[in-house]
Amino acid sequence: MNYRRNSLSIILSLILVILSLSSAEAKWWIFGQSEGEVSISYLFINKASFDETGSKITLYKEALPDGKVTITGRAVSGKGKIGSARISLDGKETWNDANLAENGAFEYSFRPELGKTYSIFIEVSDTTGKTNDVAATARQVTLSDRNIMSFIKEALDKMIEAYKNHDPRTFMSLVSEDFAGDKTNLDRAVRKDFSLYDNIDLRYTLNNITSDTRGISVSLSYSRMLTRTSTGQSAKDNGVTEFVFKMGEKGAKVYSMKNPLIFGVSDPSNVATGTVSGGSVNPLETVEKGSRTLVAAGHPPMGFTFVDGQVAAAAGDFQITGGGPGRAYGFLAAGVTRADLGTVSIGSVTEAPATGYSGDPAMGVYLVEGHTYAFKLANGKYGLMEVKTVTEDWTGGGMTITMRFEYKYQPSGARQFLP
Amino acid sequence: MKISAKIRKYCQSKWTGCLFMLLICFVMMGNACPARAANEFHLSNEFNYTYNDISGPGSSQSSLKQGFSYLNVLGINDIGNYKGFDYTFNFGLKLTDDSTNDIKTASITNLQGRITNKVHTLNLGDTFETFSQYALSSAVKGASYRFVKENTYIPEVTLIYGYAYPRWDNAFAIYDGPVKAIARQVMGARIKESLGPNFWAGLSYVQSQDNDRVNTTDSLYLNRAYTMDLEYKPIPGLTVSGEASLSDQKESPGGGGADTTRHGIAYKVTAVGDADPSRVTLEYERISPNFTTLVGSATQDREKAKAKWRYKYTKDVTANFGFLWFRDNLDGQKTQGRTDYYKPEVGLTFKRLLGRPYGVTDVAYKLDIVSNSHSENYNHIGTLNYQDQFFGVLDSDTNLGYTLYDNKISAAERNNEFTYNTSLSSRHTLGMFVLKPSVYLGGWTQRSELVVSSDQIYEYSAGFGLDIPDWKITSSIKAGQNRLDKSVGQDTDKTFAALNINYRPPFLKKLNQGMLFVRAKLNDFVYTNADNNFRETSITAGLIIEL
Repeated sequence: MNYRRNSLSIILSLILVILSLSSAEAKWWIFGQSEGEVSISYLFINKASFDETGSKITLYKEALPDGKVTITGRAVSGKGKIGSARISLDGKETWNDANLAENGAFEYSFRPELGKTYSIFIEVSDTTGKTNDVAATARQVTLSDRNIMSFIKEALDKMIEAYKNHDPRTFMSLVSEDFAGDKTNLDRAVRKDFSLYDNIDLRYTLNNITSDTRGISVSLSYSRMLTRTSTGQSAKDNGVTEFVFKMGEKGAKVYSMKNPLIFGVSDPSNVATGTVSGGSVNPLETVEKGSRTLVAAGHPPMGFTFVDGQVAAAAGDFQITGGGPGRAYGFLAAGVTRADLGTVSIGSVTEAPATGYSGDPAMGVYLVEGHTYAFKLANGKYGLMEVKTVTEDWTGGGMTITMRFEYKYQPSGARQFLP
Repeated sequence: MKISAKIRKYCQSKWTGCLFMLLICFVMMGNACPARAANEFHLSNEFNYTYNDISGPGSSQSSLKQGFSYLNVLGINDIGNYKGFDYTFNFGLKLTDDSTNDIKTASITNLQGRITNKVHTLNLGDTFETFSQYALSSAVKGASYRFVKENTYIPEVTLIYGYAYPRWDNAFAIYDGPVKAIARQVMGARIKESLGPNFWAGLSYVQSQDNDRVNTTDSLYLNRAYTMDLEYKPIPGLTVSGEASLSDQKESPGGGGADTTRHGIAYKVTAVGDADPSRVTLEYERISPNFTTLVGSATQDREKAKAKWRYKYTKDVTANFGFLWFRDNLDGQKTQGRTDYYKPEVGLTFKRLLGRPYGVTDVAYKLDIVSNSHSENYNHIGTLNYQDQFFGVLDSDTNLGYTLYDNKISAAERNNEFTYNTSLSSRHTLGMFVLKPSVYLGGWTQRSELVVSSDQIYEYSAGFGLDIPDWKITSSIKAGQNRLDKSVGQDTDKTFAALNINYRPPFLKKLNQGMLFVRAKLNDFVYTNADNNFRETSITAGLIIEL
């Protein structure tokens, strides 16, 4: 297994090194295509590479430097010298000469009109008359008068609608390929969310939108209500969170998300990259938690079930029958194991241990005041429980044990418990 | 300690006061010289008034506020040129009395001034400067300065200073007190050198320092990150980029615990080849367990390798292949050992399959493997999507999905999920009316292999849209039911209805944009335990204007 993992790392590293050192002109990922003698080594439109723009480019008036669109590039010729560089804005109907330098670098600027679409082609020729592959330079450029905020609202509204409708396909189409938490992880996390939650109602108002040339930072306040499919019970929360978007060919796409998450909440450790400073008011946890009290007077024993948070007589993942001040005595249900984490608070435990669990010995178990226990349940999921107090009462002649405790239950099956 | 805290608070409020005054100067600059400046002024305002009625014994579960409430969002944008400098001023204000919209009654949403002559750029207020992923990718309330002289070898220099607050109310309040947040002061510098059009490299230093605990248990951090990033385009269509960062962190825990320090390193290399018919991405990343960035983006304790390949086989057939692997426990300190994640996937998209001119079929298979010394999970995910148009007017979109959660160690965790949904929609023009009927049917079923249990969700709804373009009216109504049937636990039954009407009346024509709208919705929740039942009725009327 280790050999397989190491081999994978080495192979990928080698590929990256070879690529970075490659000076060959062969485009190894283009099957069956060849290079022309006259070519363009780089091409930018307002500093965005043509390689990354896609065939349709939307520019936004408020982000246009000096109100102009500037195309820059550099042409190279295998044998001769570059003699001309021309730009067409109307689908090759008319051509405009670009400023051409000795080394083949060229530049052309124009002031676009709002709402108009420009069909751009670029033709460079060497002194022998050979030209580049003009069709490969085709781009459609539109100047939109919509402000960035309207794109952000549109993207967020679509994401929320898709999330409410349990539609991962539409949702993921609004996520950038470069998503910082990795798009694959987010895809799996939202699918898991859809298994865990139903009736999702999510509303937001924007706090702030700030942009630079590489992205758009968005801060928003949200309010959410949903039904947990594990129990059928509803939960709600609200808070402040942040996103970074990138503008693409089809509008704004999410580049990164911070905790508290509003999407992909079932896998925050892999989806979120960062936490909003002081932004959370009451973040929803995938963990279910609460406090309960067991009161037992011998028989029947009183027990607690993590899955539904219920206290019941003679039933539950653990049950108590007696004990004394500071510790209760009881037993575990079949298939349930526990690990004593010592005198730590339940809030400080962010992960249940993977090992160290033991079942119910013949003599039963003690649950000691101040200790926190991790439980591995019969359904394979994990719970935590901190014994807050254990008191005894002899009123009426018989002993009654009262154990007050706090608990958390992780229905996703993960061992992680958010602080 | 108290004195230093007061000094910090004083400096901070004084600093934000100075910032505010400078931003006012931007406004005055635009207004004082209207004749000389090519000035553009835009104003947008959305006001809405809502009435919510929540009834039933379980009404505390609703996230809505009972009764009347309002929300007003104002945006002002001023763009101009003054003596060769382009300037921009943005201001936003949000007013509401509904705490589910915002915890503040009045809050500034945007406050930004920017002035540039292409060489020097000064930004005040809301500032977003993306240095690099690990170094800085968060907005701050503060200032930045950038020097860039294009077409020369003089390096680009960026300086930034501010506070990483998510909202202006964390810095100062315009009404009913500030919202408390840890004061995370950020300062940084970046120098970027381009050696020709195909290569650039950058060096960044970013420091973030926390002050003013919100809770006594909050930890405060002093974080420094030294980062180098670069990009190289060796041949057309191929981009190789990389980033490496060193971090130092000091953590001061709340409650008087001893300070701790940690040092970490993170690096990544990415290669993207993009030209028809293929796009290939290869990535390797390693982030040590002690690497910390508070204003950048990184996931600690991770080694990751990724490969993606999108290949357009023909104009109608596209294939996607992906493989992601990552693992934790890089320092071997976790008692449970390392966990490896393998996520391969393959997908195919067919257009015009079987001669259907509008038919698009997506089929995909994804596998998630989570493996460590104690457990091994295999999740198999299969999806199928089919979109088509029938009889020239009926659009359909159908999704089928199947997931098998297969735990190799614990049989109790094996279960199946099946999802399905289909929607049909159409559009008809009848005189001056545009009619848009639609129906939706969906479901989700989860079955445990061992326990005889099956949880199911059914949702069905019908909608009808009516547009009257001549009268500038668009409207829609939708109603349906969503039911969760559980073998164990509470069943939930939600009946819902929603109405939207938008109207652009002639008297708002003088404005650039103007719209009146009405939205109404009804949600009726019924649970097995009737004590949880509740009903939400909400109606909102609003006006949007844009100048």
